[in-house]
Amino acid sequence: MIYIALFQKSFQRMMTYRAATIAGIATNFFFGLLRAYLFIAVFEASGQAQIGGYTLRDAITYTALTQAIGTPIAILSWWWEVMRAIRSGEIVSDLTKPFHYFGFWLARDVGRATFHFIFRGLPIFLFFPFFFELTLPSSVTQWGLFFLSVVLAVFISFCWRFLVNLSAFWFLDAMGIGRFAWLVMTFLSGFIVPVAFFPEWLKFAVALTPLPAMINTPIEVYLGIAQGAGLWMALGSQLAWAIGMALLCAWVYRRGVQKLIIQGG
Amino acid sequence: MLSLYFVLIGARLRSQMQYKFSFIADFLATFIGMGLEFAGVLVLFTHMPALGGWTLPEVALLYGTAELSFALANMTAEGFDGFAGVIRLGEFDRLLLRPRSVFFQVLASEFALRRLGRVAQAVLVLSAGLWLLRAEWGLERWLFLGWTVLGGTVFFIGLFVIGATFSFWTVEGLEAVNIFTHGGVTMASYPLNIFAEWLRNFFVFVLPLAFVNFYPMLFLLEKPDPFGLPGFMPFLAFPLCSLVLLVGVYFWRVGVRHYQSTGH
Repeated sequence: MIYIALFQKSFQRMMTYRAATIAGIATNFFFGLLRAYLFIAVFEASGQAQIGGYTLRDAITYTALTQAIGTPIAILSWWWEVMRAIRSGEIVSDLTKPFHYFGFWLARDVGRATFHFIFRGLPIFLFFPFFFELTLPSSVTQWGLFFLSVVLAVFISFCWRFLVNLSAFWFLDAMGIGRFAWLVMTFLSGFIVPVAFFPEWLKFAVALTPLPAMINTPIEVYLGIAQGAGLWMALGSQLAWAIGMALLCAWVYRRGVQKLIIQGG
Repeated sequence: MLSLYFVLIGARLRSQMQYKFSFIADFLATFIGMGLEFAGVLVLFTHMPALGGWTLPEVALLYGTAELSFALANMTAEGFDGFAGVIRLGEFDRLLLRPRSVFFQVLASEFALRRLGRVAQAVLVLSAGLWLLRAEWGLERWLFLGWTVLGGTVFFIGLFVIGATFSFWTVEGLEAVNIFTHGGVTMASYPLNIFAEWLRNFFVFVLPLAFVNFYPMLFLLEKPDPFGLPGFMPFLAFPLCSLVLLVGVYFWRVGVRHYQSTGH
């Protein structure tokens, strides 16, 4: 199948950037250390054993996990290729090809994410125990649900990025919109500080968006903070967002192609 | 040389201002976006009275000065930040032919006005911190603050130059330089004493990051030195930051001499 081939090619392409991968691991790990020490100081200053349901060990594990899954979920990098294809008019040649445009980019992004998960996320996570004690999931099921949640998070993040890229159909220069969307995603997804640390009003506001489904949900599943009915609610809302965002992508894409004017093609 | 610099930079600025809407959108995006990063600090402060002995306005001063120096350095040294691309495309050979030093040419090749959003954000956080502290300083302290920001800018320009120099040997793996540039500004945004001892020692004694803003702030806020070093440390700030730039320029010269073309 063509999408599987696209997935493989994208995965293989990432393999060629060996030095870049090692440098990326070092950088992400270093930032993880800085963030872990920050949380140690926060817990010390707060005088509390738990903040928003997180123990200190959970908070340190949170920094390890965010640094590890940040690249697969593309919080630490953004992606402008669709925007560029729309601006340059290259998209026209893609439209004539026998595949679905959304599927084409999704397959490539999943290839990239899989590579990043194995060769970037995993090593970063495995370096952490040399410095700190980490929380581990208590059962195989919990591990499984965590991976499922990461897969959904990658998909939702892809839809979010795809949508932002599509804004280039309407705005000649959508770079500013893109940069803004990225920075909003970084903070409101719970990448900088766990959503559980937010004040109540902000927690309520972000719960209405797909943003926490990209980072916060997988982490709360891993840490066991989402439990029982809360766990199924968390995964269910992730699934609902995944379906909703995919439908929205399809709709916006169709509208965009309808109004597409290519100059001098 | 200076007038040539302004001619070249002026041309860059005019070209960047051609796309006004995109400039404003970019400015706002960076301004609000970088503000969200400080929002993380604000969220943490809802759970504690002080961080490593530093209150919120005091941390705002650290954060504001670190970000301001970094953003100013990033704006002026943009040519060095994107230098790997020049090497990769083999464009560096052309610079060698021109009758000006390559250092000057790279410096004057770019001026990133789009970083202005980050500058504005840093100024906002810094001003908020100063206002909350009700800083009633004499002129000499305000001058010292300006001197500190300038020192920090020189420090980060030095780091960008050092980072760019590595691309004479390798264009891959340059992301690791971010440990010192972006990692540096992140560390300098918080009180140094919250980090582990080995990290702290490295950033005080090897790479003098502590002098970008930590020691100057101890002096301005009249806080005791948590590391118990002599009281003249804050006054070493500017000289040590300049030293980083000097090392950078020296290293750059070594790099240029080492340069082998990508073969065109």
